Amino acid sequence: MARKKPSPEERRRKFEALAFPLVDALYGTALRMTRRRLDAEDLVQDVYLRAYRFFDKFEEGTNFKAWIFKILTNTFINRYRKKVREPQQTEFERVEYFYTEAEKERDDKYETHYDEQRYAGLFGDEVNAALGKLSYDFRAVVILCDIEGFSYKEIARIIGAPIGTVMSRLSRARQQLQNYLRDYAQRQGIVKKSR
Amino acid sequence: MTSPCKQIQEQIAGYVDRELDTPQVNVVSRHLQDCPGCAEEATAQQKIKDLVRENAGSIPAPAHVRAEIRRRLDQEIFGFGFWEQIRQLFLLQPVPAIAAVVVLMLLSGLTASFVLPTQSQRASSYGGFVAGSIEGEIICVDCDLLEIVATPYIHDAGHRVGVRCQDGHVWSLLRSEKSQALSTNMRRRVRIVGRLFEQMQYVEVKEFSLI
Repeated sequence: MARKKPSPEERRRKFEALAFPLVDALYGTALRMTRRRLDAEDLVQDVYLRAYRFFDKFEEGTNFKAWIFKILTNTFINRYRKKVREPQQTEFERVEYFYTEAEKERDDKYETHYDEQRYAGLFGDEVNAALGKLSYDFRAVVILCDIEGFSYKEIARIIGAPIGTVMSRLSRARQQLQNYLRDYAQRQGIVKKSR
Repeated sequence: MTSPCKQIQEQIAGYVDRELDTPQVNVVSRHLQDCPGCAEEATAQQKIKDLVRENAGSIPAPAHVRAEIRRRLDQEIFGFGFWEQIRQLFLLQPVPAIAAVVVLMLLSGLTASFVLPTQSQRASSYGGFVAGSIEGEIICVDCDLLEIVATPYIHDAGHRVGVRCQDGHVWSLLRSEKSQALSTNMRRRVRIVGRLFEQMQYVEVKEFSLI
Protein backbone atom coordinates (compact mmCIF):
# COMPACT_ATOMS: atom_id res chain seq x y z
CA MET A 1 0.00 0.00 0.00
CA ALA A 2 0.98 3.63 -0.39
CA ARG A 3 2.77 5.50 2.35
CA LYS A 4 0.82 6.07 5.50
CA LYS A 5 -1.59 8.96 5.28
CA PRO A 6 -1.24 11.58 7.99
CA SER A 7 -4.09 11.85 10.46
CA PRO A 8 -6.61 14.63 9.78
CA GLU A 9 -5.30 16.57 12.77
CA GLU A 10 -1.74 16.34 11.53
CA ARG A 11 -2.78 17.34 8.04
CA ARG A 12 -4.69 20.32 9.36
CA ARG A 13 -1.79 21.40 11.58
CA LYS A 14 0.67 21.23 8.71
CA PHE A 15 -1.66 23.08 6.41
CA GLU A 16 -2.30 25.86 8.90
CA ALA A 17 1.38 26.30 9.63
CA LEU A 18 2.07 26.82 5.93
CA ALA A 19 -1.06 28.61 4.82
CA PHE A 20 -2.19 30.88 7.62
CA PRO A 21 0.80 33.23 7.56
CA LEU A 22 -0.18 33.98 3.94
CA VAL A 23 -3.71 35.21 4.61
CA ASP A 24 -2.80 38.88 4.26
CA ALA A 25 -0.75 38.36 1.11
CA LEU A 26 -3.54 36.32 -0.48
CA TYR A 27 -6.20 38.78 0.60
CA GLY A 28 -4.21 41.74 -0.72
CA THR A 29 -3.76 40.07 -4.07
CA ALA A 30 -7.40 38.99 -4.18
CA LEU A 31 -8.43 42.56 -3.46
CA ARG A 32 -6.18 43.95 -6.17
CA MET A 33 -7.48 41.38 -8.65
CA THR A 34 -11.21 41.51 -7.89
CA ARG A 35 -11.20 45.17 -6.82
CA ARG A 36 -14.10 44.47 -4.48
CA ARG A 37 -13.92 43.70 -0.84
CA LEU A 38 -16.68 41.09 -0.77
CA ASP A 39 -15.36 39.30 -3.84
CA ALA A 40 -11.89 39.29 -2.38
CA GLU A 41 -13.14 37.80 0.87
CA ASP A 42 -15.06 35.14 -1.00
CA LEU A 43 -12.13 34.35 -3.21
CA VAL A 44 -9.69 33.95 -0.34
CA GLN A 45 -12.04 31.69 1.60
CA ASP A 46 -12.52 29.58 -1.49
CA VAL A 47 -8.80 29.37 -2.07
CA TYR A 48 -8.19 28.06 1.44
CA LEU A 49 -10.81 25.40 1.09
CA ARG A 50 -9.49 24.27 -2.28
CA ALA A 51 -5.91 24.36 -1.10
CA TYR A 52 -6.88 22.21 1.86
CA ARG A 53 -8.68 19.72 -0.36
CA PHE A 54 -5.72 19.43 -2.67
CA PHE A 55 -3.14 19.61 0.07
CA ASP A 56 -2.17 15.97 -0.62
CA LYS A 57 -1.04 17.08 -4.06
CA PHE A 58 1.37 19.62 -2.63
CA GLU A 59 4.91 18.26 -2.68
CA GLU A 60 6.65 18.91 0.58
CA GLY A 61 9.77 20.98 0.26
CA THR A 62 8.54 22.88 -2.78
CA ASN A 63 7.39 26.49 -2.62
CA PHE A 64 4.06 26.52 -0.81
CA LYS A 65 3.45 30.20 -1.43
CA ALA A 66 3.77 29.71 -5.19
CA TRP A 67 1.52 26.67 -4.95
CA ILE A 68 -1.30 28.44 -3.14
CA PHE A 69 -0.98 31.52 -5.37
CA LYS A 70 -1.49 29.26 -8.35
CA ILE A 71 -4.73 28.11 -6.77
CA LEU A 72 -5.69 31.73 -6.22
CA THR A 73 -5.01 32.61 -9.84
CA ASN A 74 -6.89 29.60 -11.18
CA THR A 75 -9.86 30.19 -8.94
CA PHE A 76 -9.94 33.83 -9.91
CA ILE A 77 -9.79 33.02 -13.61
CA ASN A 78 -12.47 30.36 -13.37
CA ARG A 79 -14.79 32.64 -11.55
CA TYR A 80 -14.28 36.09 -13.02
CA ARG A 81 -13.05 35.44 -16.53
CA LYS A 82 -16.15 33.39 -17.13
CA LYS A 83 -18.23 36.38 -16.19
CA VAL A 84 -16.41 38.53 -18.70
CA ARG A 85 -16.61 36.02 -21.52
CA GLU A 86 -20.21 35.04 -21.12
CA PRO A 87 -21.76 37.69 -23.39
CA GLN A 88 -20.24 36.02 -26.46
CA GLN A 89 -23.21 34.32 -28.05
CA THR A 90 -24.44 33.29 -31.45
CA GLU A 91 -25.97 35.87 -33.74
CA PHE A 92 -29.47 34.56 -33.20
CA GLU A 93 -29.21 34.76 -29.44
CA ARG A 94 -27.73 38.19 -29.76
CA VAL A 95 -30.79 39.46 -31.60
CA GLU A 96 -33.06 37.71 -29.16
CA TYR A 97 -31.46 39.31 -26.18
CA PHE A 98 -30.58 42.59 -27.77
CA TYR A 99 -32.29 44.72 -25.21
CA THR A 100 -31.17 42.84 -22.16
CA GLU A 101 -27.62 42.80 -23.50
CA ALA A 102 -27.69 46.52 -24.09
CA GLU A 103 -28.98 47.06 -20.61
CA LYS A 104 -26.42 44.71 -19.19
CA GLU A 105 -23.62 46.47 -20.98
CA ARG A 106 -24.73 49.76 -19.57
CA ASP A 107 -24.79 48.28 -16.10
CA ASP A 108 -21.37 46.73 -16.62
CA LYS A 109 -19.94 50.05 -17.69
CA TYR A 110 -21.43 51.67 -14.67
CA GLU A 111 -20.09 48.91 -12.48
CA THR A 112 -16.60 49.12 -13.90
CA HIS A 113 -16.51 52.81 -13.36
CA TYR A 114 -17.97 52.42 -9.93
CA ASP A 115 -15.46 49.70 -9.09
CA GLU A 116 -12.55 51.80 -10.22
CA GLN A 117 -13.64 54.66 -8.05
CA ARG A 118 -14.27 52.46 -5.07
CA TYR A 119 -11.04 50.62 -5.64
CA ALA A 120 -9.08 53.84 -5.74
CA GLY A 121 -10.69 54.75 -2.46
CA LEU A 122 -9.86 51.37 -1.01
CA PHE A 123 -6.14 51.90 -1.21
CA GLY A 124 -6.17 55.64 -1.29
CA ASP A 125 -3.14 55.99 -3.50
CA GLU A 126 -2.55 56.64 -7.16
CA VAL A 127 -0.26 53.71 -7.74
CA ASN A 128 -2.82 51.14 -6.72
CA ALA A 129 -5.48 53.01 -8.65
CA ALA A 130 -3.29 52.78 -11.76
CA LEU A 131 -2.72 49.10 -11.10
CA GLY A 132 -6.48 48.64 -11.02
CA LYS A 133 -6.75 49.99 -14.56
CA LEU A 134 -4.53 47.28 -16.03
CA SER A 135 -6.08 44.22 -17.64
CA TYR A 136 -6.20 41.10 -15.47
CA ASP A 137 -3.23 39.52 -17.22
CA PHE A 138 -1.02 42.55 -16.80
CA ARG A 139 -2.15 43.26 -13.27
CA ALA A 140 -1.45 39.70 -12.22
CA VAL A 141 2.17 39.68 -13.33
CA VAL A 142 2.90 43.05 -11.71
CA ILE A 143 1.37 41.94 -8.41
CA LEU A 144 3.16 38.60 -8.45
CA CYS A 145 6.52 40.09 -9.41
CA ASP A 146 6.72 43.48 -7.74
CA ILE A 147 4.47 43.06 -4.73
CA GLU A 148 4.77 39.38 -3.88
CA GLY A 149 8.34 39.02 -5.09
CA PHE A 150 7.98 35.83 -7.10
CA SER A 151 10.64 34.91 -9.63
CA TYR A 152 9.80 34.70 -13.34
CA LYS A 153 9.98 30.94 -13.13
CA GLU A 154 7.48 30.88 -10.29
CA ILE A 155 5.19 33.36 -12.02
CA ALA A 156 5.33 31.28 -15.18
CA ARG A 157 4.12 28.27 -13.23
CA ILE A 158 1.50 30.25 -11.34
CA ILE A 159 -0.14 31.74 -14.42
CA GLY A 160 0.65 28.81 -16.68
CA ALA A 161 2.53 30.75 -19.34
CA PRO A 162 6.11 30.62 -20.66
CA ILE A 163 8.78 32.78 -19.00
CA GLY A 164 9.10 34.86 -22.16
CA THR A 165 5.42 35.77 -21.87
CA VAL A 166 5.87 36.76 -18.25
CA MET A 167 8.71 39.06 -19.21
CA SER A 168 6.94 40.72 -22.11
CA ARG A 169 3.75 41.18 -20.09
CA LEU A 170 5.73 42.82 -17.33
CA SER A 171 7.40 45.16 -19.81
CA ARG A 172 4.13 46.20 -21.34
CA ALA A 173 2.35 46.42 -18.01
CA ARG A 174 5.02 48.76 -16.66
CA GLN A 175 4.81 50.89 -19.79
CA GLN A 176 1.07 51.23 -19.26
CA LEU A 177 1.61 52.08 -15.63
CA GLN A 178 4.02 54.78 -16.72
CA ASN A 179 1.28 56.28 -18.85
CA TYR A 180 -1.32 56.13 -16.10
CA LEU A 181 1.10 57.55 -13.59
CA ARG A 182 2.61 60.17 -15.86
CA ASP A 183 1.37 63.16 -13.85
CA TYR A 184 2.10 61.54 -10.57
CA ALA A 185 5.49 60.41 -11.75
CA GLN A 186 6.42 63.77 -13.19
CA ARG A 187 5.64 65.35 -9.88
CA GLN A 188 8.05 62.88 -8.37
CA GLY A 189 10.42 63.47 -11.27
CA ILE A 190 10.93 59.85 -12.18
CA VAL A 191 9.65 59.39 -15.71
CA LYS A 192 10.94 60.77 -18.95
CA LYS A 193 8.94 63.76 -20.12
CA SER A 194 7.64 62.49 -23.44
CA ARG A 195 7.32 59.20 -25.14
CA MET B 1 13.34 52.74 -32.86
CA THR B 2 15.86 50.51 -34.57
CA SER B 3 15.54 46.77 -34.63
CA PRO B 4 18.19 46.00 -31.97
CA CYS B 5 16.29 48.36 -29.66
CA LYS B 6 13.14 46.34 -30.25
CA GLN B 7 14.88 43.19 -29.12
CA ILE B 8 16.41 44.88 -26.12
CA GLN B 9 13.09 46.42 -25.06
CA GLU B 10 11.62 42.98 -24.72
CA GLN B 11 14.35 42.09 -22.28
CA ILE B 12 14.34 45.25 -20.23
CA ALA B 13 11.87 43.87 -17.70
CA GLY B 14 14.08 40.84 -17.25
CA TYR B 15 17.08 43.11 -16.89
CA VAL B 16 15.37 45.24 -14.26
CA ASP B 17 14.16 42.17 -12.37
CA ARG B 18 17.61 40.53 -12.59
CA GLU B 19 16.12 37.54 -14.34
CA LEU B 20 18.51 37.38 -17.33
CA ASP B 21 21.52 35.11 -17.45
CA THR B 22 24.98 36.63 -17.61
CA PRO B 23 25.45 36.66 -21.42
CA GLN B 24 22.04 38.31 -21.84
CA VAL B 25 22.83 40.88 -19.15
CA ASN B 26 26.07 41.73 -20.94
CA VAL B 27 24.28 42.25 -24.24
CA VAL B 28 21.66 44.47 -22.65
CA SER B 29 24.05 46.60 -20.57
CA ARG B 30 26.31 47.14 -23.58
CA HIS B 31 23.31 48.34 -25.56
CA LEU B 32 22.12 50.60 -22.74
CA GLN B 33 25.48 52.35 -22.67
CA ASP B 34 25.15 53.22 -26.34
CA CYS B 35 21.40 53.93 -26.51
CA PRO B 36 19.97 56.73 -24.36
CA GLY B 37 16.38 55.80 -25.36
CA CYS B 38 16.61 52.27 -24.06
CA ALA B 39 18.58 53.37 -21.03
CA GLU B 40 15.80 55.78 -20.19
CA GLU B 41 13.25 53.00 -20.61
CA ALA B 42 15.21 50.77 -18.24
CA THR B 43 15.40 53.53 -15.64
CA ALA B 44 11.69 54.20 -15.99
CA GLN B 45 10.83 50.53 -15.53
CA GLN B 46 13.01 50.34 -12.48
CA LYS B 47 11.31 53.41 -11.03
CA ILE B 48 7.85 52.00 -11.71
CA LYS B 49 8.85 48.75 -10.08
CA ASP B 50 10.09 50.61 -7.01
CA LEU B 51 6.97 52.73 -6.94
CA VAL B 52 4.70 49.70 -7.00
CA ARG B 53 6.77 47.98 -4.33
CA GLU B 54 6.73 51.02 -2.06
CA ASN B 55 2.98 51.38 -2.35
CA ALA B 56 2.28 47.71 -1.95
CA GLY B 57 1.38 48.22 1.69
CA SER B 58 -0.16 45.01 2.93
CA ILE B 59 -3.87 45.00 3.61
CA PRO B 60 -4.63 42.83 6.58
CA ALA B 61 -7.41 40.36 5.92
CA PRO B 62 -10.44 41.17 8.11
CA ALA B 63 -10.76 39.04 11.22
CA HIS B 64 -14.01 37.52 10.03
CA VAL B 65 -12.27 36.18 6.93
CA ARG B 66 -9.83 34.27 9.09
CA ALA B 67 -12.68 33.03 11.25
CA GLU B 68 -14.65 31.93 8.20
CA ILE B 69 -11.65 30.05 6.82
CA ARG B 70 -11.27 28.19 10.10
CA ARG B 71 -14.98 27.43 10.17
CA ARG B 72 -14.93 26.03 6.65
CA LEU B 73 -11.89 23.92 7.37
CA ASP B 74 -13.58 22.53 10.49
CA GLN B 75 -16.62 21.70 8.43
CA GLU B 76 -14.46 20.15 5.76
CA ILE B 77 -12.62 17.99 8.24
CA PHE B 78 -15.73 16.81 9.94
CA GLY B 79 -17.71 16.29 6.76
CA PHE B 80 -15.03 14.87 4.54
CA GLY B 81 -13.06 13.17 7.29
CA PHE B 82 -16.08 11.28 8.53
CA TRP B 83 -16.94 9.72 5.19
CA GLU B 84 -13.30 9.13 4.48
CA GLN B 85 -13.05 7.14 7.70
CA ILE B 86 -16.14 5.13 6.81
CA ARG B 87 -14.64 4.40 3.41
CA GLN B 88 -11.37 3.31 4.99
CA LEU B 89 -13.29 1.07 7.36
CA PHE B 90 -14.95 -0.73 4.46
CA LEU B 91 -11.64 -1.07 2.62
CA LEU B 92 -9.69 -2.39 5.58
CA GLN B 93 -12.34 -4.39 7.48
CA PRO B 94 -15.02 -5.24 4.93
CA VAL B 95 -16.59 -8.20 6.74
CA PRO B 96 -17.19 -6.60 10.16
CA ALA B 97 -18.23 -3.34 8.50
CA ILE B 98 -20.84 -5.03 6.33
CA ALA B 99 -22.02 -7.10 9.27
CA ALA B 100 -22.44 -3.92 11.30
CA VAL B 101 -24.51 -2.35 8.53
CA VAL B 102 -26.77 -5.41 8.34
CA VAL B 103 -27.30 -5.37 12.12
CA LEU B 104 -28.05 -1.67 12.01
CA MET B 105 -30.57 -2.16 9.22
CA LEU B 106 -32.33 -4.94 11.12
CA LEU B 107 -32.39 -2.87 14.27
CA SER B 108 -33.72 0.18 12.48
CA GLY B 109 -36.39 -1.98 10.83
CA LEU B 110 -37.51 -3.22 14.23
CA THR B 111 -37.42 0.24 15.70
CA ALA B 112 -39.34 1.64 12.80
CA SER B 113 -42.25 -0.70 13.29
CA PHE B 114 -42.58 0.50 16.88
CA VAL B 115 -41.64 4.08 16.61
CA LEU B 116 -42.74 5.33 13.20
CA PRO B 117 -45.98 7.28 13.34
CA THR B 118 -49.26 5.84 12.22
CA GLN B 119 -51.39 7.73 9.75
CA SER B 120 -53.25 9.78 12.33
CA GLN B 121 -50.11 10.51 14.32
CA ARG B 122 -48.51 11.83 11.18
CA ALA B 123 -51.44 14.16 10.65
CA SER B 124 -50.99 15.54 14.11
CA SER B 125 -47.31 16.11 13.42
CA TYR B 126 -48.37 18.76 10.91
CA GLY B 127 -49.71 20.76 13.82
CA GLY B 128 -52.66 18.45 14.11
CA PHE B 129 -56.24 19.05 13.16
CA VAL B 130 -59.18 20.30 15.04
CA ALA B 131 -62.83 19.72 14.46
CA GLY B 132 -64.33 23.07 13.68
CA SER B 133 -66.06 25.25 11.19
CA ILE B 134 -65.13 28.04 8.84
CA GLU B 135 -67.13 30.58 6.90
CA GLY B 136 -66.14 32.23 3.69
CA GLU B 137 -66.41 32.61 -0.03
CA ILE B 138 -65.88 29.69 -2.38
CA ILE B 139 -63.11 30.39 -4.82
CA CYS B 140 -60.68 28.61 -7.07
CA VAL B 141 -57.27 28.77 -5.41
CA ASP B 142 -55.41 28.62 -8.73
CA CYS B 143 -57.48 31.38 -10.33
CA ASP B 144 -56.96 33.49 -7.25
CA LEU B 145 -53.18 33.04 -7.32
CA LEU B 146 -53.00 33.79 -11.02
CA GLU B 147 -54.94 36.98 -10.41
CA ILE B 148 -52.54 37.99 -7.67
CA VAL B 149 -49.48 37.51 -9.85
CA ALA B 150 -51.38 39.14 -12.72
CA THR B 151 -50.45 36.75 -15.50
CA PRO B 152 -52.71 36.03 -18.45
CA TYR B 153 -51.96 32.32 -18.02
CA ILE B 154 -55.01 30.09 -17.49
CA HIS B 155 -54.43 26.99 -15.42
CA ASP B 156 -55.35 23.89 -17.36
CA ALA B 157 -56.59 21.49 -14.69
CA GLY B 158 -60.05 21.92 -13.23
CA HIS B 159 -60.68 24.51 -10.58
CA ARG B 160 -59.10 23.83 -7.21
CA VAL B 161 -61.78 24.69 -4.72
CA GLY B 162 -60.95 26.72 -1.64
CA VAL B 163 -62.63 28.96 0.85
CA ARG B 164 -61.51 32.50 1.55
CA CYS B 165 -62.41 33.60 5.05
CA GLN B 166 -63.03 37.12 6.21
CA ASP B 167 -59.58 37.23 7.88
CA GLY B 168 -58.01 36.71 4.44
CA HIS B 169 -56.90 33.12 5.00
CA VAL B 170 -57.61 30.70 2.21
CA TRP B 171 -58.39 27.10 3.06
CA SER B 172 -57.99 24.41 0.44
CA LEU B 173 -60.46 21.56 0.44
CA LEU B 174 -59.40 17.98 0.77
CA ARG B 175 -60.83 16.26 -2.32
CA SER B 176 -63.97 14.33 -1.59
CA GLU B 177 -67.52 14.02 -2.87
CA LYS B 178 -68.53 16.87 -0.60
CA SER B 179 -65.83 19.18 -1.88
CA GLN B 180 -66.83 18.34 -5.46
CA ALA B 181 -70.35 19.42 -4.68
CA LEU B 182 -69.00 22.76 -3.47
CA SER B 183 -67.24 23.47 -6.75
CA THR B 184 -70.56 24.18 -8.42
CA ASN B 185 -71.15 27.08 -6.04
CA MET B 186 -68.30 29.39 -6.97
CA ARG B 187 -68.38 32.88 -5.43
CA ARG B 188 -71.08 31.80 -2.98
CA ARG B 189 -70.67 32.17 0.76
CA VAL B 190 -70.50 28.94 2.63
CA ARG B 191 -70.19 27.52 6.11
CA ILE B 192 -68.15 24.33 6.39
CA VAL B 193 -67.97 21.95 9.31
CA GLY B 194 -65.17 19.43 9.37
CA ARG B 195 -61.60 18.75 10.35
CA LEU B 196 -59.25 21.69 9.98
CA PHE B 197 -55.58 20.96 9.31
CA GLU B 198 -54.37 24.32 10.47
CA GLN B 199 -50.77 24.28 9.47
CA MET B 200 -51.54 23.08 5.96
CA GLN B 201 -54.66 25.22 5.65
CA TYR B 202 -56.70 22.26 4.45
CA VAL B 203 -60.25 21.40 5.38
CA GLU B 204 -61.86 18.02 5.22
CA VAL B 205 -65.49 18.79 4.57
CA LYS B 206 -67.98 16.92 6.72
CA GLU B 207 -70.99 19.14 6.12
CA PHE B 208 -71.57 22.45 4.47
CA SER B 209 -74.34 24.92 4.07
CA LEU B 210 -74.64 27.89 1.73
CA ILE B 211 -75.34 31.17 3.44
